[in-house]
Amino acid sequence: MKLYLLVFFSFFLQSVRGQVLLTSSLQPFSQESLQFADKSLTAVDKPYKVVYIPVWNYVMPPENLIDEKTTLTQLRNGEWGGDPDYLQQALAEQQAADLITARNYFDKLGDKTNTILVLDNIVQTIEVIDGNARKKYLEGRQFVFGDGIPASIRQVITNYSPVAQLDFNDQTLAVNDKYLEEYTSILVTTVNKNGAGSIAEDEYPKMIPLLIMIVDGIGYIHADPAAGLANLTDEEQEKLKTIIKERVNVVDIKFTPIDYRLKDKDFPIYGMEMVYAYKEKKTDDFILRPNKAANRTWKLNDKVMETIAATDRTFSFTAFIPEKDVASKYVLKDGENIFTISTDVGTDYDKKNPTTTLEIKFLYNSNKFFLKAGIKGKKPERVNFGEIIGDNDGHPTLKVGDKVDLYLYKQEGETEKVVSTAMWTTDNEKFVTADHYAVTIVDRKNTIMVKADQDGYLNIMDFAYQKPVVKDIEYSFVNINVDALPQDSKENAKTLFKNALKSIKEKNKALSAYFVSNNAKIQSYVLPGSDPLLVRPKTPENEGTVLMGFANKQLAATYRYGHLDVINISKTKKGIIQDATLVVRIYGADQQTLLDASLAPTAEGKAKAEFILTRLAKTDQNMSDKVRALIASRRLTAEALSDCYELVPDDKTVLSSYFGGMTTKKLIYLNYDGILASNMTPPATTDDKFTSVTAHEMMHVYFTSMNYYSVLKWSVIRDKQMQYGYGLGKSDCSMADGHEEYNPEDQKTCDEEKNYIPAPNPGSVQL
Amino acid sequence: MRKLMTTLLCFVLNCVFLYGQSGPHQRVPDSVSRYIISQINAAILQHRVDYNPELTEADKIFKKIGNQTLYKDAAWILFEDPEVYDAPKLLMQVDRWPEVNPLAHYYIVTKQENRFAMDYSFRPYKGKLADTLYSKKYDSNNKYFPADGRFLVYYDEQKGIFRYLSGNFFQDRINGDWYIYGTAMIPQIRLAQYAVRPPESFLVKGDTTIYKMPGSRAITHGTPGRFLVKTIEQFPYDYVEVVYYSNVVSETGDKDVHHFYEIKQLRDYTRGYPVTREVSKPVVRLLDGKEMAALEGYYREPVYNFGNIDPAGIPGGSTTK
Repeated sequence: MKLYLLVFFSFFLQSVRGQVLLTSSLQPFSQESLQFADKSLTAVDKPYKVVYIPVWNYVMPPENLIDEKTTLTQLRNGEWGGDPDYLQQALAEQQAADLITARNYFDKLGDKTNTILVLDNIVQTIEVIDGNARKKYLEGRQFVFGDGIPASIRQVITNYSPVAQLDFNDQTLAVNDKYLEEYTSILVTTVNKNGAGSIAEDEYPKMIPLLIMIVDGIGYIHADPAAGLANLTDEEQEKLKTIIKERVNVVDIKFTPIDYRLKDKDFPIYGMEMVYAYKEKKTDDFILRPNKAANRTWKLNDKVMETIAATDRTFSFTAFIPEKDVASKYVLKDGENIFTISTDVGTDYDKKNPTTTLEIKFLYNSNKFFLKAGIKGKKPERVNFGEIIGDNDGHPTLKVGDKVDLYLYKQEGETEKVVSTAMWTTDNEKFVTADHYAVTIVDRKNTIMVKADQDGYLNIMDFAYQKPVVKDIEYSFVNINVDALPQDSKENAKTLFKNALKSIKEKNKALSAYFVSNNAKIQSYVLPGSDPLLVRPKTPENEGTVLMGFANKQLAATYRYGHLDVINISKTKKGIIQDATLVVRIYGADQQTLLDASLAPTAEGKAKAEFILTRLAKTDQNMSDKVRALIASRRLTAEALSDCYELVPDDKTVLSSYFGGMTTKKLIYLNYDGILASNMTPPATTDDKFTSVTAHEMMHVYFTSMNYYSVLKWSVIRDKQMQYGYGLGKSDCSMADGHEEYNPEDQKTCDEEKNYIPAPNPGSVQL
Repeated sequence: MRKLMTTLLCFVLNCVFLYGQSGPHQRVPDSVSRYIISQINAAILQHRVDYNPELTEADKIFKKIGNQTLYKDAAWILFEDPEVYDAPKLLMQVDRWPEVNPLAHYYIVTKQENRFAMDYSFRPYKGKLADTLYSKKYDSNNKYFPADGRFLVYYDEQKGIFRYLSGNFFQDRINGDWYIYGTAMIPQIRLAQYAVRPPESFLVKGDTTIYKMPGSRAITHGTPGRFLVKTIEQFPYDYVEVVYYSNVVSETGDKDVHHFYEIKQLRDYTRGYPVTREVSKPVVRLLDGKEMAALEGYYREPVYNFGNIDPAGIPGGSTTK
């Protein structure tokens, strides 16, 4: 059955005040007939209003729209023509869809309380009889009733079927018009005859049957919408809730019924109780009556529940559990179940003694179903829903291409019974009815859903499989941002950067691999550019140079950074710094503690100072001793302390007091225009230029990740240059940060850059 | 006596059995827990610096040393007194995930409140070695970071693989051989921060799979309903679209039940770090009745099931299917 192939043409005929049927060229009724129907319905006595919406649909195969040219062969080949079942199903689906729209329309109406909406679905399709294609129609009506419509009217309208039949072979539409005439007439007479006074005047005394469904200590009130509880004032509603709450002994009481979902183990907390709210006069408050005179019929899924007497007001869900209640006779279906409780109100309270019918729908899952899965032809083994097939403690055992045979089983006492009517689906749209379903594992979602029958509970089963290793990302940077470049350069820039990354991957695998990450980004720029990071202070040295690229190392300092310093500065004869030791001066609370201990010694203060001195001794015993002596002689000054320091070791936990941890961002900036325009000695090509600059900047970031301590130390060295007056020296390849002559980072990056520049041709002379 | 001994023996066996079992049901070892918390803590703070609309670039830069930019550490920016809030670490709880049938290496980290553990053991602060504190300054930014209580990570201690999967931090791609589960798990993994339950069902439409997820209040702004998560076959692990429909739109302040909005959030993990906070914001689009009707045809159920549309507003005048 290929239902999804069907095409629906729907012509929703619009109604305005009451019942005007807007028409299209395709319509089942004649214009005159529609006008007449409209007039009749408009004439209905207030306060009732009837809206009749005939919906006219085509159900046809998509390519073979029915017209004169459609041949019988085409229809036959469709395989759909002769199957009455799917046509009915198509109608049901169409009805459901149209009802939603109708309901929405209805809900929007200004005065919907006393409105009846009739949705008349007419579906035109094709049937093949004796080799002849003939038009066929399917028809079904649905209704939406406002709260004010009494049960009696609802009943008549719901059950009425016009005697007249529709006939599309009649070109004159006379037959169809007859149908419309009959149906509008019955609608009009029904509301006119029964309508007068029954609700609008709100008759008293009044008795309203209420069913209280108790779930988790909360009582949910179900009432016939026609009872008009919704029309009560807030205060009246609250009063009614309060008396019910006391009566049925629940923690809370609510009007709105919920979407019940039951499981076996939940039963002990569920129950149902009928109560009757009574009002003598309109001005009275509701009171509850036990109402012994009332008769009830309890039905479950349309079957009368025989153990419940007509006089019983309560029902406990424990009746579904055999162990708890020997009298258990009721079986819930997996899936949707319906309780129907009909009750009158007793002649004592209302002479007419009307009968009210309440319906409560809920979903039930017995958990008695399970699957048996035969993996790769092995003997099927039990798998419960909620488990994952092929999952062994987080380790998948299935592989792509593996076949798994599935059977749906039901546990009935000790025996396990295969469910031959199981309905399987992978998309929740198309179902296959079979006692067995085979799944072949594919490299994507592997999920199967199954229910025991049409109304059954839809169980979902997942599979775990070994994912084939995902192909490596070809280039290390997933994000090459060329947004800043002019439109016509973008493509070329991307290509050049990608080629560069390809070459780097071949030559320096470790460097390349570090940027295989989705936080790695190449940001291209054009000078001067709006990014503040592109601004460089003007110095005599960088006069006339172009910023080809830089790495944003994202170095972050904590507030303690200011107390860092460098000592043991070693310099060349020319005053160029070669190395130094990273230290931190004594500051803040530590400094204060030591000074306090010296100035106004207390036992506690001394102990605190000792803690710091011990730490200081790890750096330099002599320094610690010297401070201790000064404290003892009460001569310690801030000045004396300013010479003291602690070593900052290459230890992440200590380092993190001065610098934030390394971010995972891997950002390099490259100047596309700059690199393109730069000179290069042959045989170096444009590609080589891009490769060398890219590799250089990548190395800055990579080096930082590998030598965090060193990078931070050199950052402090550069920061303290003015204070100590050393030179930073000249780099071979750059003058930016990280390129101090003796900084190992300089060597590394310059070397990496050179790596991609081919040596000049032998014999050529460089000038 | 013999009976007592038997009982005792049973008790002992029971204990051995219970505590000796292996697999993902085991409790999370402290070392793993500590490592995960320290990673997530840093990531959360960094995220709050990177995407905080109250912060300008100048607020983040400490100083420039020549050409080099030195930024402020996240704690320095986010807290009132850097000396007090020295290396703040959020108090969080690490559990295996999902709660029922946990997967190996998946950890959900939950944070009940923004309280920080301070470790002053290296440099005592006012005589204290440790403390737990709230921060007014940090909390004043909470409004920009909703759904900030849950964080999902993947952590394989042996292989040293650590991935940020869901939460208010930068989220990694799901890419590589460590990921063994199919696309069906993606919505749950990517939306773990919103405490979503598994998808109810799904629709396969061409190369797109649309999962119908039970309502997560954090996504539908506290109202009931369901929402849709689309994944595209072409990028099964890196592209997630979260869609729901609503009348009440916080972004526009519109509460008219006759207005219908599609609220769509794209999460494209292939793009790396989002440049701005705006990138990760939802796109709000006003829909007309016809579009609604078309969507109903597409999903085969009322659109107001998805999100928090009041059906009262839906026009019934026309429909096409």
